[in-house]
Amino acid sequence: MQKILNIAETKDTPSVVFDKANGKFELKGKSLPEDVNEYYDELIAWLEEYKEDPNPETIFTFNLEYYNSASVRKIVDILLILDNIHKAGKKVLVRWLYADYDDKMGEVGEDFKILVELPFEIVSFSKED
Amino acid sequence: MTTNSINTFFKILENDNICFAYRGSFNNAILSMATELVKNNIGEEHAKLKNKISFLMIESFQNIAKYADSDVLEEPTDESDFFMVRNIGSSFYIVSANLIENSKIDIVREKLEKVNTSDKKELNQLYKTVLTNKQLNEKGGAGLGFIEMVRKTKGKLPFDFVKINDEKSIFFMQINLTNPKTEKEGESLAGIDEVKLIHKMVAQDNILMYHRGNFTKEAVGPVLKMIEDNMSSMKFKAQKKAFHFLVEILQNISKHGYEIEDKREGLFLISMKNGQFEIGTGNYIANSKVENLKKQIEQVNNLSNDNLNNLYRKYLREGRVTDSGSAGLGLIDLARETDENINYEFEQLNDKYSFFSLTVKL
Repeated sequence: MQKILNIAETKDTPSVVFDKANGKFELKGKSLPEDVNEYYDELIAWLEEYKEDPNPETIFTFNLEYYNSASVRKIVDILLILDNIHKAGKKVLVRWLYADYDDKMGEVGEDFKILVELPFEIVSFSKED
Repeated sequence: MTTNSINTFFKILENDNICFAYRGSFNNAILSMATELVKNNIGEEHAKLKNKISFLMIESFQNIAKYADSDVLEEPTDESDFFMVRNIGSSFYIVSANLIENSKIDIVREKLEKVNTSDKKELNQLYKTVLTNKQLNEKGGAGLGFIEMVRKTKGKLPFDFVKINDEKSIFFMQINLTNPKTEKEGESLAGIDEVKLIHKMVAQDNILMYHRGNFTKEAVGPVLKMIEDNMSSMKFKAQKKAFHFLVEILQNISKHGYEIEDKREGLFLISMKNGQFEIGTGNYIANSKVENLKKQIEQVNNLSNDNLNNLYRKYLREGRVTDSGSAGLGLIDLARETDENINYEFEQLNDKYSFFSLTVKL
């Protein structure tokens, strides 16, 4: 079984849980690194490996508070890998979560949704903490 | 705010290695942001002064009487307090400007003149007297704060009062701290008149804060972190938007700014008027990059929102093929977020680089 990828959140990068055994795939927090490759290479390598032998169903959650434009490309890369898994006949669902007061993150979810041919849910949640 | 005001600010602060200023309601979040920012940006040669500078900043901050209860950024008003810290050459300057009732001017003046004219021995004596005799302090003996400032800096405290009406004046004060190890012969100190000029400009443009310094990758991170912490209630759309703008703009300067002696000099300002944020930046850029950048800004300025969305999505699709840096994605994203045009100006300074200033309302 592919090893779990678990990265803690930092001031400018999101937390990651990629857990094949438990079917958990999540990116959560802020994505503002200057050097996006440095951060995302590992994630993308993991997903490339996963793509070769994916679960019958993958639910992938984005729960991002902010992003910089450099991160956008990397999010696209992740979506394209998921797109390929979907095209290969596996079930894939992308869940794009955003805080209800933050239209911006909702809108950018729409941009991504249009980009890929995947089941793609955009879900707002109320954040009162 | 205009590109012209950015130009003027940048020129006034041209010799500052670092300059941070804040105008508005004061609270502890602002204080920790300012002290962290300065600590992180002090050059190695001044490392030994770090603690002293923090101490003096706190002392000066607390001298500005009005502390706000909330940690949320508030719009500055004509009566807002002003705080600035800067480093030029071997000297650090901690500046405050706040309102004072005209009736109290004489008392403050007397205290300051007393500490400014006392020698070391007299100061120590004064210090002891004030510590042990509360009454004297209340009646108008030199305040402990002023005595401490002078003892710590071994210098004088320049000050001035500028009358604004029959009741109130602005009280300007500056703490000078010079690093004796790096001081060069003939190095002169910045005067308080410059502070008065800066204060006037800041008020004219409704500026909430500005920061001038080195915008390399290492320096931008902590700045953003602190601004984010400070805009703690990011639920407010306008603040989040302002932060988003700053991330893109500062990272852009750190990537594309023209490097002089390992530094990417830059300036950013945030102003707020009638609840609307405006962000301005200024930095050097290589002449070879000017035409392209101009073209890109014009492009996004001339597109409708729908067309910007289309362009954004086109970049998303094609970006993966070309993979050439950020390909204008950041700029398109900024333009999508505001209905206002991006104002900009390029001023060619020599055959290598130009000064690029930008303002945008959110």
